Amino acid sequence: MAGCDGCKRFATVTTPLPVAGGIVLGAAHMSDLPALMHLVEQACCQAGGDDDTLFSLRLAAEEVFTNILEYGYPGGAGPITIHIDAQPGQVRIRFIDAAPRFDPATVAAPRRDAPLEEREVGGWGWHFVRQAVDSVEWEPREQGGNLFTLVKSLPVAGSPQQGAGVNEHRNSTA
Amino acid sequence: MNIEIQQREHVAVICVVGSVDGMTAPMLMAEFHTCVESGNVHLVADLAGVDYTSSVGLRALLATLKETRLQGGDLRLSNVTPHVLKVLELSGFTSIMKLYDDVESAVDSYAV
Repeated sequence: MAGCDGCKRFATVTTPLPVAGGIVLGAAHMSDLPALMHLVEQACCQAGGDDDTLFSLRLAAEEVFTNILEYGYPGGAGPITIHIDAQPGQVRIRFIDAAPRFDPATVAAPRRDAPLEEREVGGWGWHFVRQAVDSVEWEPREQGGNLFTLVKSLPVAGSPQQGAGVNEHRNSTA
Repeated sequence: MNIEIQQREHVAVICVVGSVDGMTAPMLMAEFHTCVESGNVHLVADLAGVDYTSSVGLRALLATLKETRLQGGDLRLSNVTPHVLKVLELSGFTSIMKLYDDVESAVDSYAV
């Protein structure tokens, strides 16, 4: 399987699989996005992902992160803990926040065929997450807040590749 | 992200290099807005150097699309890379925007 650009960037990483990474952000802000993307790239490389897989993981992780900041925390900042586990053939990303409970399954995708005048800015984030990874699970936390778990399975060597790394015909949330 | 603007007669070509994400999209949005504010409503965004966009990139495109068309102009895209094209397709943006294989074709399309 061809390596991704991230692999080249992190060619010195020699930690044996599986690996786990995480960030605990007491007051997460959009400026933390590069650090999150760095972790995602490392995990993708460790799991043996290619460029399409990296694109999908970056897209899913950013959309969840952005959604929590924009809709979970008035003011655009608040606590978020992120755990990323990489195993051969699979990457799992968990987001834990302290925001009001929010089930992403309640968010319908905007209409793809809407004319320009009926389109509104935003609304695509969770739709992209569902397309980019294989499963999205939500759990309300007892002490408040949300746990979002994303799982992306990587194509097995020799199996047909998915187009540009996103799932063309899926729209499930669990 | 690096953004350069080239004036081609009555068309402004915005050459974008880098990832369009939550950190960089505001810069792109500001450049689009500055173009329109200065009277350039015929825009081409050359995305040959853009390998990634999230939904925030769509927001910048949508806002600029509406802004330019309200003034009789348009925002057209050239050299869209596969991953960015996938995002445009997933959201149906390929049906509301005009995409071209290269900058020249996109610029020339305004002369038709």
